[in-house]
Amino acid sequence: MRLEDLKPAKGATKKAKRKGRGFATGMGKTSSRGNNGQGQRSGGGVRAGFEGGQMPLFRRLPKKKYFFVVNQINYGTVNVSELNKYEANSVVNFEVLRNDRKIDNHAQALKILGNGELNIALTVEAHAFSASAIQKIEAAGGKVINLMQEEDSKSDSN
Amino acid sequence: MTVTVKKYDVKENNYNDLELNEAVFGQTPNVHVMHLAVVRQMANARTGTACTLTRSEVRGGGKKPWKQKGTGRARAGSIRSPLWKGGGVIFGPKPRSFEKEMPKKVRKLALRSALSSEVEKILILSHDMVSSHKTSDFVKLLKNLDLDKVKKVLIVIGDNNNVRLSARNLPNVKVVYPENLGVYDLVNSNKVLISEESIAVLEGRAINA
Repeated sequence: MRLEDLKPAKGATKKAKRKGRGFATGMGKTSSRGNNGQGQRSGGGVRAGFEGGQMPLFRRLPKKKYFFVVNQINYGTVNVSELNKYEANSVVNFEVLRNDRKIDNHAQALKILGNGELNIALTVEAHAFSASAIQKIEAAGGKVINLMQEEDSKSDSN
Repeated sequence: MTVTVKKYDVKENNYNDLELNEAVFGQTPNVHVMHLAVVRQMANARTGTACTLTRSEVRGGGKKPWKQKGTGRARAGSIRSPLWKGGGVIFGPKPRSFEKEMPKKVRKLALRSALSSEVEKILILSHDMVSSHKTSDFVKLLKNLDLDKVKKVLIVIGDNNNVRLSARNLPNVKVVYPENLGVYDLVNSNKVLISEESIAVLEGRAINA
């Protein structure tokens, strides 16, 4: 391969619009800027949200606080690589990881993520798992217990 | 598919086969990313220090040359107007950074791609390929390898003063550290000599941690 063989993939680049290069281009006389006025000048145009001096929508409406997610769950996250220190075949859950300070005090639920390697079989109880975490835990001979799904199935049966 | 390259033994004067890591040297090259890497490399090499003086930066020109009306001359407010001889420059270059950013993983992909696409150019040598710092010694080595007529020879080697000193005056040879090897040099050379010790460094740079 030579330097001149290097080129961007097809579709990755766009040709620049050549404005003001003749009437036949459709971008000739006014360079696609229309006739006269503020928008025709270089750097022209009004700022986003400006409605010509009329009180714009974003100021007409009252400011509202507290648009938060209702019943948000604050997940503490732990990667599978951090689970290797536990005894094989033991149960790893929220309390165990909290006691070991793997998840902070604000966490309300536990999510296991799949970064790194897991070498031992564990029964992992958590409220959420990433797909790769499930795969790694099960590949190591362990078991995945999803607490959220269990709660769901309980409420369904009621 | 395994990747095998030739390894030259300086003392024995013979060639052996050496197997390389397929994950680094045996990939399908991503030409798009290699292009991005070369563009970035060349842009980042620019110093961006070009600088001109605008009308406000050219010395003098504070006084109005003549009054606005009544002289019969064109109106003028400053002897440093861009329209005047000795005036400032309109929209001239100012110092700026041409640096382009590229995610680490993409940079690694670019290096892998380049090493893979240029793998036919690669010849492995031992670290002590020349015994002294004399250029004549290095020329002798190139002759032995039948590379003395090759236009662009790239040498990838770590700290080795003998190679660096003996090769630096040869117009067709460039020596780089494995830490600094880029897509540009790999693609823009006809033959790449890599010291055996450098392979590990290149692998470390080319594989996602």
